[in-house]
Amino acid sequence: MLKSRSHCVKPSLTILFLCAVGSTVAGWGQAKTTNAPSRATGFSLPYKKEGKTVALFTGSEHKPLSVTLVQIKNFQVETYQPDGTPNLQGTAPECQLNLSTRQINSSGPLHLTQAGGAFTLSAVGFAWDQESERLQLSNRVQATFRLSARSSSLFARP
Amino acid sequence: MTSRLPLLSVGLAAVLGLPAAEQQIGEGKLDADQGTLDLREGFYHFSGNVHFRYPGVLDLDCDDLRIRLLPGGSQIDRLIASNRVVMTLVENPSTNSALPLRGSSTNRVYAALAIYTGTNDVVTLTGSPESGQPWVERSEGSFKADEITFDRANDRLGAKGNFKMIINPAALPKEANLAPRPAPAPAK
Repeated sequence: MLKSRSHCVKPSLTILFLCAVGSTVAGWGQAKTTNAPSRATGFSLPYKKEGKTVALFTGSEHKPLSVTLVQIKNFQVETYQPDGTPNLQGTAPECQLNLSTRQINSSGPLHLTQAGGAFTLSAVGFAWDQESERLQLSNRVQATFRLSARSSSLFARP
Repeated sequence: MTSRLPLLSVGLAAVLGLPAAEQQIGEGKLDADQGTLDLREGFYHFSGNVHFRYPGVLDLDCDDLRIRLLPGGSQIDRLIASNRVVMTLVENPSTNSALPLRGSSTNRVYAALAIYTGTNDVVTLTGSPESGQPWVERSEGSFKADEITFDRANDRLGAKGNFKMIINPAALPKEANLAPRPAPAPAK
């Protein structure tokens, strides 16, 4: 029963996603948000938690690869603190969004910057799971931290 | 038993960033094979050939580096470097005239596990692949123990269990008066 129901939901999610690019799927919210900058791009998808946008995923192009898989070009992500202030900004030339698992994967490069420039990070190959707020970096991780000799100020959040 | 080692602690005090010698902001660069960022918990995990370079201050090599931030804060809760931990620490010259050795130097620290706890500002070193003990090397000598702790807040170095220290005599300045001189012979 549950299985057949989920099969019914997935296509409709995809249609909503591709047409409106702002479908509401347990966390995925409307494209335009109040505390995040809206972007005139080919693809824009906010992720909301408790009514607040905590992440915004955008791209210049998107192409469906399957029922649940969407390819995104010139991918950008922004995450926000609970008070709406920017936290992380990430860019990738290309990635794939899985609507079913809500994960974003790529075998290509990712560049990540913390607001305020506290650290920058790059890697080749990544998996971003916004649901669990987890980012896995597969290869060639390089990070630059702005720090003082007192290490207690290392890796500071903005 | 905890030994106070002012001689060698000078180096660690300087390079681990004691408040007395607050240094300018610089850039630290980290390379690793893989990484995981837990954005919810403020937890960073780097693994595989982890190399951290902070020019002029610190080099850290290890296989695994975990960093946890205090919730909502901007400070480290815990930093754990494990597996083949090698730290090279550049020391600023001490201005403490009471110390017999005051030159700038480089310290090399070997351990299996190095844990920095932000709440009490303590670095704890344990284990090593070679001897089972962490050890610290510098030009003036070296020491090792089952557990070496560096209390940054109080500028103290502790060594627990099977402590052994070797001082290179050549590093001692000739004018240093480290041993009591024999009493002068009574006048005849």
